[in-house]
Amino acid sequence: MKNLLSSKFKYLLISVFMCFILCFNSNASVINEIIVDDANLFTESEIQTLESKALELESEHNIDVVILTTNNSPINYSTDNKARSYIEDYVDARTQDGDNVIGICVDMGERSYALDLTGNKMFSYFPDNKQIKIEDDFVPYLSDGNYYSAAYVFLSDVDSIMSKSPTSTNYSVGGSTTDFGLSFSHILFGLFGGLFVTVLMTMTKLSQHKEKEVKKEAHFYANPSDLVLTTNSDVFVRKYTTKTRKQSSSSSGGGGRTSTNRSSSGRSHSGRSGRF
Amino acid sequence: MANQVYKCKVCGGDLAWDPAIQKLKCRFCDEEYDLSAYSVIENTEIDKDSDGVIQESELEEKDKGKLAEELGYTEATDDSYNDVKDLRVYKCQNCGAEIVTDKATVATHCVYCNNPVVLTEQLVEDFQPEYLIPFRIERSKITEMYINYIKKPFTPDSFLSESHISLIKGVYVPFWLYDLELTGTMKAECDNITHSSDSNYNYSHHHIYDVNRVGKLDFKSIPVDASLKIPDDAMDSIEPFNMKDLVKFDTTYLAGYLAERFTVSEEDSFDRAKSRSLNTMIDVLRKTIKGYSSVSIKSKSANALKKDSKYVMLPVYILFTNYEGEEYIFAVNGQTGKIRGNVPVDKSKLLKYFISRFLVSGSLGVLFFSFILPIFL
Repeated sequence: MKNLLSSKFKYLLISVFMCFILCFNSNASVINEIIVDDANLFTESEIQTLESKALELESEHNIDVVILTTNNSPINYSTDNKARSYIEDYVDARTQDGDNVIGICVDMGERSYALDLTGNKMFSYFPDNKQIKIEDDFVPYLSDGNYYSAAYVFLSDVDSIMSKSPTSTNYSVGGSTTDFGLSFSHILFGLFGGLFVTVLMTMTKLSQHKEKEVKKEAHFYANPSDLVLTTNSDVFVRKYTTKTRKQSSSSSGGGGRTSTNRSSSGRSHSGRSGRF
Repeated sequence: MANQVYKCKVCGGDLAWDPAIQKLKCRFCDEEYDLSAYSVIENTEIDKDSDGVIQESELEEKDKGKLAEELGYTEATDDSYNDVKDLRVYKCQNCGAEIVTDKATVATHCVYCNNPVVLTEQLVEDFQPEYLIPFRIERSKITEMYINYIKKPFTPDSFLSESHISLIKGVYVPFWLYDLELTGTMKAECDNITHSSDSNYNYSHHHIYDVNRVGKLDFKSIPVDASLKIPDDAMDSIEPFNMKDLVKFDTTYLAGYLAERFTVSEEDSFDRAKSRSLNTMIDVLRKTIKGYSSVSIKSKSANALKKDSKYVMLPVYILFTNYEGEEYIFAVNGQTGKIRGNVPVDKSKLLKYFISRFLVSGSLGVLFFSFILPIFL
């Protein structure tokens, strides 16, 4: 009897523990398959490496990651970029509104790609300028036919960006992610800022004590309007134009903004797409 | 020619130049005298040869400065400098006492009878200035100006005490004034940038110009102090002097003040005037290149041509003082009242200021980064 109770208690404990783990990790890894390589762009070992890297990301940042490849996105997509619609639908079908997901899709049929992200957390970490950075990093590999490197660079960029503080200022903050309160970094920044201001103030005050200096100019003794210019020529020699890519029509400086759109299911997504 | 003294014709008291009334004034009976009444240069008794050079033989032996070292003196009797080898001994025409002063001193006072004395021996030949700006700021005002000036954020309390103020003295400092003609050349590559954009890109259109400037500019009366013993930075800092107030030199103006003759020659002083004017010329040329988004100077050069130079004396109140083993010099422009100097710093006051401000600004910084900045992020 005692043994029976003891074993029941053991099961109870294990069950409670499992429930606790499940509840605690409710937001993690809701997409079972991370790599869906319908276009057969990766080898088995490459898939394993990418999955391993993606799993690390998922557990470390509490997000979902997906990498899709396809030869032909469904033909009922009327958009310019089928890869974009494909990954949005894929994510919407397998996750819930509010889940934080990021992924890329490569459509070999029309040689298009899409970077897709959804969820407030992702919007905060990946404003338009960060999305452009990721896009600029992995698309050249796609163009070179180095699909594994493209996917790996994508995962590395996500990891690198999410290891830093979020920077976006233009998204709806669901559940208030604004971080009030004292932290070591806040104190450090505050003290350094204070030190900088104090040094400036002290130097300004100190400069009043040292007003003697050897003059290196003689402005008092000439009138610039008396200057007689014997040669005064401005000759046009050439012209050239430089161009810089616009960040985004809705983006601005500083931390940047995250442009969003509605997918076919009505869910908010953000991302980049194009052809390679 | 005797060492010049100035006595009141009414009471026989000492006369000194009064900046407020721009006349000689008796310290005892307040009688005032115009410059002409005591003008030495105008009514000089100095004999000159046909070339206008003073005959050394005409100076009475008792008026010549003797080496102080030979007579056993080791210190000056006035406020001049105390390098024993440079000290000379003169006889006061008023009381007969010996005046020991620096060999470059032109005007001083007798330490026994306090009579102003002009050492005319020092003004012979090339040592006589052409012009002078008389003191316009009264000595009584200097005290107040000095006290106000040294009230800096970290001035030691002991430095504010009265004992330092008594060391202020009025000195006619020798200067060379240079009139220069500057010629400068500047070549630059300039960029005028306009912007446009389409849906995907921002464009910057650069229009490059070769810019060439050659010009001439006259500089009038650039002053360079001609005294080895007065620091250049002290004299430079109290500029400018208004050269419109220059008057023909007359020893009468020196009465009641110290005065020095030059100890740096005109040739040796010229480099400083040249260097300053060259910098300004380049600056003036640079300012003629306007209207561009960016300017890259490719070459620049300037040449100075000396058109004229004058030996003058300019009025300066000067204070030498020591604080914690370091010498501090303050200079006041005796014409305009501009005062400059390095005021010593009380390290404990500085530390208190730094800590108190850091506590406040550091706290505000932490508050800002912790509670205010997140609102905007």
